[in-house]
Amino acid sequence: MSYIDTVSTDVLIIGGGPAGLATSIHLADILKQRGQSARILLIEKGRSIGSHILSGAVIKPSVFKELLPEVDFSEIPFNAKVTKDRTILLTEKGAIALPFHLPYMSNNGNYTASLGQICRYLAVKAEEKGVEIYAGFAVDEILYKDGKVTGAKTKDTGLDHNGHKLENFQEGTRIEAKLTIFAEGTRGSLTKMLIKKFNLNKDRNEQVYSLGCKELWTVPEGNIKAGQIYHTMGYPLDNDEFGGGFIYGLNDNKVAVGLVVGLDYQDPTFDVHDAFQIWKTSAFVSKILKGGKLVEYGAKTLPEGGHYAIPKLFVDNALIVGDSAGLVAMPALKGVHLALRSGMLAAQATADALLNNDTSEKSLQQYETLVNNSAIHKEMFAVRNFRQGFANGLFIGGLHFGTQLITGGAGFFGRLRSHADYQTTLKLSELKKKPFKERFKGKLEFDKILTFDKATDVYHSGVYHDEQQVGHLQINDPEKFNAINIEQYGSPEQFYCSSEVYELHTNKTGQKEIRIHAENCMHCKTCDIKSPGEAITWVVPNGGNGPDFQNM
Amino acid sequence: MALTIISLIKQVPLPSEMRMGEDGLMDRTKAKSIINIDCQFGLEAGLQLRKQNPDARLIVCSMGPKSFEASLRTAISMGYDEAYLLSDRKLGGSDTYATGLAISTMLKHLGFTKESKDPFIILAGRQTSDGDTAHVPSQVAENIGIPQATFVESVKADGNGNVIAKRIIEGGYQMMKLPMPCVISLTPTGIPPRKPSLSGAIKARALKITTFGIEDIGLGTEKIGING
Repeated sequence: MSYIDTVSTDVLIIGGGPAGLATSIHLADILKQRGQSARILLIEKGRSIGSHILSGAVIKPSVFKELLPEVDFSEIPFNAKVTKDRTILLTEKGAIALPFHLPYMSNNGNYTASLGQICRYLAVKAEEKGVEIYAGFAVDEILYKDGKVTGAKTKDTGLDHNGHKLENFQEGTRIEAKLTIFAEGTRGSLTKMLIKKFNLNKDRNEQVYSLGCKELWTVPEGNIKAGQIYHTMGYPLDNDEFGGGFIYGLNDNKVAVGLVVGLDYQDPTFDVHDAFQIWKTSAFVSKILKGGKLVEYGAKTLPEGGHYAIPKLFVDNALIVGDSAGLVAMPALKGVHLALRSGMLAAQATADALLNNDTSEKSLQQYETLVNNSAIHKEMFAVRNFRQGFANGLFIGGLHFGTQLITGGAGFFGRLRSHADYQTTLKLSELKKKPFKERFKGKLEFDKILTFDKATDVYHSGVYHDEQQVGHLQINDPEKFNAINIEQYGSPEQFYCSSEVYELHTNKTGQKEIRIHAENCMHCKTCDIKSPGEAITWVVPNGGNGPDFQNM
Repeated sequence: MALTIISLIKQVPLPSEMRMGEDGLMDRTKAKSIINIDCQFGLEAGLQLRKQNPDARLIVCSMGPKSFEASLRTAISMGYDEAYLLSDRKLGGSDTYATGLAISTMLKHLGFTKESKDPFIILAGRQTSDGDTAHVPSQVAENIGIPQATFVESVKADGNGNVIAKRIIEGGYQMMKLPMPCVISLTPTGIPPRKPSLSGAIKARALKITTFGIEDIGLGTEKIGING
């Protein structure tokens, strides 16, 4: 057995989500049509395809027909077709269904789905077409030669908490690729490095995110029909918190519920998971879940910066697709169909680059050109100022949105800027309104029937992390962290984390420290996004670690 | 005169998902499968022995249905070179006597007998999570007619054709020296199994696993299966 293993491939795709899989499928098809051959290697950090996939989801299906024209549409594991679609103004005790759809929020012709199941299906198709898929492998290093991307290296395993080699040390494998496709999903850890190294977000807006916490439930027959979907606004969020809830009726008496909240909120004690639990106690939602049982829990962030936050999508020998590229259309938060389309366009540019033996930046510019002339651009450009308009609250956001609707998206103020989510949190002393716990006093005792504490929810995610590895959540400057994040902000980490990773511990002498329970990590990336001063870096843990979503 | 390191493994249902079928036998069909934990420690012990013997040939063997190929491939991706599966409907329902007999017959068929000129060592896990008997390693040793040490935490070659085994006993440890060939069964207390490498996984997928039926290895039906 060799000791510094190298594997060569023509194309390396990092990430087995909808974008990565679509790239691999379409590339395999184009190569076959042209009689070209190339090795396509796709690696995925989750235990299996789907393990790290989470979405509502209500998907626009048309792009699937383009991706898989030879397949009968009924074979694709969509769930129920949307039959009833309402926007609900929610209060604690009541609900008003809007008699119309908000602009861009119609789901006519769309399907509910478990994105995990869809990805598993896409993986089967990809492998049938000769794509090599390896799940359970994480890459933590981009390989460079002469300053250009030449592939990636899988993580060394068999290290203790301090990074020392243990007896069962296994060196990572170097994967050398002519072209590497970054399809890591939201806030991709290697994509983040790539963007920084090549300044790919120059002149772009800061990318901003929402955190979505989701639960899959099984409910008694009759609580909700498959294909009935609801989006809620209002309770328990106030004017400064951007977001809302979703309820998607699925087949077999299952229902997907969740709350998605913009991470630009100011209250350092706000807790999305707990707000989600409180949301479930509203009369409208609790009725749908009555008598039901929790099946799974998960959390994920979504890039919401829109058109102006999309980075440059190409460099020498590399392309970025999907959520890593920020391709999510507001306000409906639809990114799956855009991920697929971006994968198909990347495949086109890749096939041409391989044919011409030219994977340089000049050649790969074709990808960005294709994206800018595609339905992706059309959809995202129309709402390019949507999210930024809400930076100052719902009311102002609504006004902005109104102006944007009558000006094809421009609004009266032209391009609106965004602030990075980690910059918008106020210090404890600066917070004027009631902190989260006070706002919801009396509602934070979770009954484990309708509402669950984080630890119980985390148990339902199948999460697992190897003991023998360096902790994957890194505090960049521990002294600064104590002085600022803990002292001035009250350590928002303990609240914004979807999975109770960060525990603020006070010892007998009053000294505070943050304890990291990395084994709970849901890979949502909220800490990497929201930590004041960018104090935390999320690094990829061992392959096969993290949640093991079954039907999320 | 290179050493051959043979690891015996069994694929088992994930312990949290085990079910008993109506016929009193394990219903393995619905649960996810893993390599039995003790067997994983056995695999790692083999890989550790290779450090002392870089030219060693590493073989992994199992007895079971075709679905066990997944575990054999995982072993290859950890660093093993060859995989052999003994698979035959007639072996279904075998108890440990029959299993020990069947596996040792396959090993003898592969040329591993007590008269073998080339040195070899057989590693196994102490016991399985779905059987819990800890019988099979000893059965295999007796069938082949070679020495054995069970409940071993770690094993090292001494350079003179022997191995030194650190055995767990009540209240402490017992150091044993055994000449090769021998059988060692490993407890899940030693060096934990390493994670597969990507290059290993790629090699594993392409590898041909040699599968034997009972006729191939010359095993009669009287003592195996439900009869055994």
